[in-house]
Amino acid sequence: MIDLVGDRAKRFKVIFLAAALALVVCAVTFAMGGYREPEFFLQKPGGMVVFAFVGCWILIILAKLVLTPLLQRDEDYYEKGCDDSDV
Amino acid sequence: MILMFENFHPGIIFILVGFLAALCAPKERRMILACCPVLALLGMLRIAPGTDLQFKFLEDFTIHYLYVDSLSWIFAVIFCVFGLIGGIYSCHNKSPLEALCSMAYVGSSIGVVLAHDWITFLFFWELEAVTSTFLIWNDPRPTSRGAGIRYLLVHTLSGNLVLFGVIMKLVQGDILVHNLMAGPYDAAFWSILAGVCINVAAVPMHGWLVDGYSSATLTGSVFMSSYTTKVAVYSLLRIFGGAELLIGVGVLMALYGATFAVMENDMIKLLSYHIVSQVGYMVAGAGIGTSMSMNGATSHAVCDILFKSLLFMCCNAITYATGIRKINQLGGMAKRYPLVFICFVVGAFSIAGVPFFNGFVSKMVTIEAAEEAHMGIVALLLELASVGTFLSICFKMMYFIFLAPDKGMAPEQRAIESNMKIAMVMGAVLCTVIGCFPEFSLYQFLPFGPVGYVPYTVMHFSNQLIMGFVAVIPFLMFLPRMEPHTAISLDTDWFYRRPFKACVLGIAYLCFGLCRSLGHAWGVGVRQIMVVTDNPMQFLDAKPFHEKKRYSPDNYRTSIADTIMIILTVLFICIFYFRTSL
Repeated sequence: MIDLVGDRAKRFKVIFLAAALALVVCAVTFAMGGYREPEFFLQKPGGMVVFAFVGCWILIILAKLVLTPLLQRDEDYYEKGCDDSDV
Repeated sequence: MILMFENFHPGIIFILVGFLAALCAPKERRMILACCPVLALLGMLRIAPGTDLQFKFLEDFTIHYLYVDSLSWIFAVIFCVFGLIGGIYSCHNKSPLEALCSMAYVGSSIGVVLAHDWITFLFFWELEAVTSTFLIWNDPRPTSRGAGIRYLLVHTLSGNLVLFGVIMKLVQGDILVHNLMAGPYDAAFWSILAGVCINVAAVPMHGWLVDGYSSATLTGSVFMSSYTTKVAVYSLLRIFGGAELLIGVGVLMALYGATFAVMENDMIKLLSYHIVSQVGYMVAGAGIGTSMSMNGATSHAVCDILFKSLLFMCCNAITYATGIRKINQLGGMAKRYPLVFICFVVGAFSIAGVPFFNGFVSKMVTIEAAEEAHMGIVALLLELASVGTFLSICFKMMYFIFLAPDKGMAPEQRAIESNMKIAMVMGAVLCTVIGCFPEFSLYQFLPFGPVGYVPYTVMHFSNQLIMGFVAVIPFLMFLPRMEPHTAISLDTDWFYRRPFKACVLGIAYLCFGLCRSLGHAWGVGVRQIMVVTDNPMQFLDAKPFHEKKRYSPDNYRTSIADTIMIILTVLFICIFYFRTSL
């Protein structure tokens, strides 16, 4: 099993590997003419790289830093102080 | 045998299979659930497109109970296919009620998509709600009872809205189910749309889905993941295809589900949020209304049934074996259950749209349709939801459940049943076959003309790979804080679980208090009248009413003074009367 939480070195290795793979795919697509006549932002070279990176951060920040403190409660939140938990 | 089922309603076959399974002993039930859905599938495949079976009802109505066109055909076939897989997955169940309800649920879902008139549509719509409620109530957890009641209340509201609209349609002489976008946009239109939107789990009316599915039985939630929302998607495509309002609703659903899934700790709740998210693509596709987007919505519904149920089957298999539902208590499951891990990877790659898996050939159709319709923002937001799918299923679930070190909190309680493994493998194979050969297995059956989308281009291929490779970077950078912790996320169901509940209870207590006070006052009044009428003479003696005395004949003897007084009064009245009249 892989402990990426405790092992920072391994985590950074995976990050570099993922970044390298993304750049390789981007380069191969460019070489094969995949980015010809882009009509849409995501079809431009590197468009998806920027979008996925920024988009992923937006979702993480929104979910983990904004919504989690606002909306998360104890597991027995609905049962607490309630004689009748039927409805 | 097959000929016997020609033009026989496949939904009715499923319902009969359910009754048969419920009446049989467990060993026979296992065989019936695993094998008999094949008859319904074969029966469905033998029904020719254009078939319209009907009978007269109450002289005025013709019930079109089985109508097959290209749209209803593809939905009915995939419902039958998953009825078969689900039957195999659940055949080890000991509960006859669950066997009956799960098969009747499949049958009623097929009934809705094959209905051609409003009455049949409504009948199966309601039957679907009732049968699925029992899949929640059949779970032994104490919280399931309340969740089932809430689920039933929400679906009763949905059913009543559809009923209201259907009654208005019938009054107008509009008997057949058809696209209502030509107008009029009257109360019937909005009422049916609202009813369907509740069932499609449109935000903010989606609370029932996460609440209900996570409270259902392990096998029940697998069935539920595939039918209720997809039946509603079919209804949107059939009745409201092209309603622009749905584009915004769909985009909101896609993003909302993807965001809330990142926070979630319960496996089934997380997957339920992804149902909301994936159904959002279909709703947006129905709203865009072009043939490409409608085909995209249809194909994504077909693929979603397969990959989402596969993910539910994998997670429920782990819960079945370990008794654990929380992600933060799991870990190391890839080593312990390698087959489940492989199937989960197929499901996760499918839902994320990785090439060679079925989500890749279906999800992108809707996004491309939005681009072609010059709705760049819609396409971008749907892509963003796609990033969220990678984040919460491909990375979060896959790492913390399967690849992270085992925390030792989930010892094996029982082995995963062989029928569950067979069903998971069937689902995984179908996801891969459709992903590899979309033209042959999916696109040729789509109902809105040629799909006009080529999935395997360099651009599509590389964009999905890049999305996966890049999205993993923020996930790993944030990994120490990505692990979910033991908590629940409040959602829109909070409104009817807290303030609305308090309001209802307050009104109930008020009514109860009022009734009790009135009842008490009424009781006192009646008692006193009884005492007075029981013995008026006692009343005239002005004796206390409430005083209970031992029996004594003296109590019933009046004094001589009273008698003289009465006689004299009557005498004076008579004299006065006769004097004045003379």
